[in-house]
Amino acid sequence: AQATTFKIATIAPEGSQWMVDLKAAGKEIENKTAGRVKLKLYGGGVMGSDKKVLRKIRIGQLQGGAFVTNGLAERYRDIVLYGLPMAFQTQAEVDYVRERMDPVLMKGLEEAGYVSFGFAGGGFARLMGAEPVADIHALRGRKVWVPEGDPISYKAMESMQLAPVVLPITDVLTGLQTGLLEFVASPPVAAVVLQWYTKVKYVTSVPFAYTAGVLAIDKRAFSRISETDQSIMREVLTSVYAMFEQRNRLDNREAEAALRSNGLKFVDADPQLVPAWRKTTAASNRKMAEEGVFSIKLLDEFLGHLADFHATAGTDQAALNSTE
Amino acid sequence: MMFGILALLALLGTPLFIVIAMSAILGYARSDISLAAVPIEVFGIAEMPILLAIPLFTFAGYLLSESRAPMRIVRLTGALLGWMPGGLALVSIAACAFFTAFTGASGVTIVALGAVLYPALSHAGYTERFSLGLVTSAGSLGLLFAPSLPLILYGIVAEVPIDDLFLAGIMPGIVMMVFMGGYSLWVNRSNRTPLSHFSLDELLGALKASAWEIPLPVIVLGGIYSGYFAVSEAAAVTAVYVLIVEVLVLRDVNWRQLPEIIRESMVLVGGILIILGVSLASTNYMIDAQVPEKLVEIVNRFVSGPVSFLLLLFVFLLILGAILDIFSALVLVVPLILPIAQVYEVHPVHLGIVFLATMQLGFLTPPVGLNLFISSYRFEQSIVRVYLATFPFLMMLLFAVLLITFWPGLSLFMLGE
Amino acid sequence: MITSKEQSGLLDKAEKFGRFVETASLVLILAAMIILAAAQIVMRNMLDLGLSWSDEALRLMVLWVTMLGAVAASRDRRHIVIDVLSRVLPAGPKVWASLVVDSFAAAVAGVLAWYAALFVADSREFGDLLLNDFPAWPFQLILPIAFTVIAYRYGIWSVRHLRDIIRGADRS
Ligand code: NA
Ligand code: NA
Repeated sequence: AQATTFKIATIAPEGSQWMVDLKAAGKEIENKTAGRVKLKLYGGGVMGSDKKVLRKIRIGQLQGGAFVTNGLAERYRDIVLYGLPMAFQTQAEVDYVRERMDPVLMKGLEEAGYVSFGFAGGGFARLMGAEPVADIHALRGRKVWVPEGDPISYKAMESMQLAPVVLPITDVLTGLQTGLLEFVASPPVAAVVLQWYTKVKYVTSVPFAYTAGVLAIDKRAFSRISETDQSIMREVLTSVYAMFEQRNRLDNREAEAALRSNGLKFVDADPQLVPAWRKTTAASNRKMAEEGVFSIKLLDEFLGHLADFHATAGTDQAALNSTE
Repeated sequence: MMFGILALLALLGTPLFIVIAMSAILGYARSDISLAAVPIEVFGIAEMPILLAIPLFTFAGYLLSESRAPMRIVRLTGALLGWMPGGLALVSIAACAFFTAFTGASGVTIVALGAVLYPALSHAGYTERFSLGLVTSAGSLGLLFAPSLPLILYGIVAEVPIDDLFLAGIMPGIVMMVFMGGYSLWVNRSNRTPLSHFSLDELLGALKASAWEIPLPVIVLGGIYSGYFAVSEAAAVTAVYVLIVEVLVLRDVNWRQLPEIIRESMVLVGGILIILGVSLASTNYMIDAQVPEKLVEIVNRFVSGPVSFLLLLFVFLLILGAILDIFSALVLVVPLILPIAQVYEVHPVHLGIVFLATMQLGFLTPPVGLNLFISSYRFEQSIVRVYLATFPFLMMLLFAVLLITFWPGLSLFMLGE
Repeated sequence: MITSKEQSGLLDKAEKFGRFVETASLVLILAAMIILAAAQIVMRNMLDLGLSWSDEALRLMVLWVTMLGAVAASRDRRHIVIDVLSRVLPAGPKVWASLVVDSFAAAVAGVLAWYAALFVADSREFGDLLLNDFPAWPFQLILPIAFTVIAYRYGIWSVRHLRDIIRGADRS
């Protein structure tokens, strides 16, 4: 049979660890399928923004992409669940909820036409910018980044009287360089890999949103290869994404250290204000679900799991201490 | 074969965006990729945030050139430099550079300023030939000064910070002006009579007349470097400011003229950005086919280090500048040479300055030297005469470009690198 | 019966009207761009406010201005070209060359228009969104429209060259 090549776009730059690992996975798949299946990776965002990559998958120029979950919302709206602003506070919460909901979201993605191989948590996005921010109101009138195609984060910021700037993730570095953006929210590891840290000076330690990556492959293309090859691909890519998950946790600590050694300063958000922000964003999130931006049923399920977690894990404080 | 036919069609005068679109179509078709990939890439024009600066700056530049600002600028530079021997030549150089920076190297400078400067030069005793050569070649100066259109476009295509480019262009731009100014003074060493005596009254008068235009560079550059404005915001402020000043305050331009000025400027913008759009598709095809990687390999075989790379680049750009206009060359070629330059550790900002400076010579080299044609048309001179008159200036600029190419520090020291 | 004189009068009127529509749309969009971009700066700096759709809307306007500008450039024959050969060609072969060039341009623009229309249809079918929750396809419609008009323009030029060739042959 003829070899099938899966062309996959990612924003991970050439030479970065993410890219090296994905390429290694491609080699492994090629070996295990005796050359019947190949991965061809386009790094550094050269294939364009998430929206553009999705369009290219649609016409068959590409067969897949490594996305940040929210980047797939245009095709599967409920994928935004994990990235809801200020919904998660601790890694322990994340672990508890994801154990129960990952299969639900992956099934949803599959129904939307994309095969995926598990989520790789990227850690908590923290606010970064040229000035220290302890109170979010200091951001009024400033240019704060919101990813393109993420109306939920946009509304959350609006609910806190901020005026965010909408840009695709591929344009954030340019935006920071040209003054189009002044503040971004990003997990430390992504800020290092994508070079954003070179354009900021301060990090606010409050977990702004949880981030997760997912490799989505066009189901039409995937179903064209044999069942054996499908399971080889699933096996290899699932283990790569599980490894990303584990390593991102370590890397985020290392990246934080790297940020500090590069002279970035960490500031704490005013602890008295944080509960109020969470309340405001939670209300805004619910409103978006009520408006049909994503499934209110899944939101309730999500919040139910969170409540269960807090009921079983005792006090919130214990959970907080166990992770941060 | 196909490539040969396409090249022939290009030389026969097929619009470049059609040629580039066709090359993308052929490329995608050969790789069995749906041709819907072409419009997906062209739609990418709506996904580049900084691009907004281009229509806004272009409109402001066209509006300025339709006003009496060119005359006021000549008067002001005259009051500042006119007392020196050879002063008017220096005035021409400075005024043209300033004006080109704002009107974006579209040949507008020759039309707008040439009408004032050419007769003035002849009147002041410069030879016909010198005056023609000076006005034609000075119209290409200023390309390296903010907020010139090619500088912004390079930043967009190469994904290099535009404010870094603005800084890096200053010294090389000045070097080009100094080379041309030095030559002008030397050639006219026998014509020692200055244009006028220095007069404080005239300087104050000229300052007063230009009072509305003088803040412009401050708004643009100051706004960007203080971090107060993004580049596109500075463009918006410039457009609003120029509109208010020239139409409402000074009333140089009647509002009835605005539709035609807008059309003219947007024809230029459309002409440039449609080429950018289709070349996003041709570039995307080349990335899909991993052409840049292959190109790096080939170049690697012939080139041993940064110096020989820069030499090869210089020759290549010189030829390119003779056949392609600067905007098409930017969007077509930069994505291909950028990864090669990276291998030889040529700084992307330096690469940009070298690229623009060398391509600038293309304005003055036949067969497609835009300024040669405009000048020939504007001053009713034969193209051969224009070419001969321009030749010595072209040589001076060539030396300046060599200096800029092989002395990276000249571009980079302003960045503190 | 319409005489050929009346017919060319009608064509002239159509041409004038077309030019007017181009200029008017360019004026409207550029004005909207300037106003929106300026309003955004004022709102952000003085009122600490932003508009969720303004950045994206401005980017879309850049696309519209580009495509309309390209249409206008086709009418005025002001597209960027390398006309090294046509400059030196004598009049006879030149008109043939122009015919080849312009019909080629019309054909390529036609192909672009067709695939742009497919792109828009796909986008409509899949429910792509822009500006948070607007369907994307009406904003993308400028692509097939502009390429169609450009193809039409070069088609008209080709017909004129053909007419010149036939008239030239008649005369000799
Ligand atoms: Na980009
Ligand atoms: Na290109």
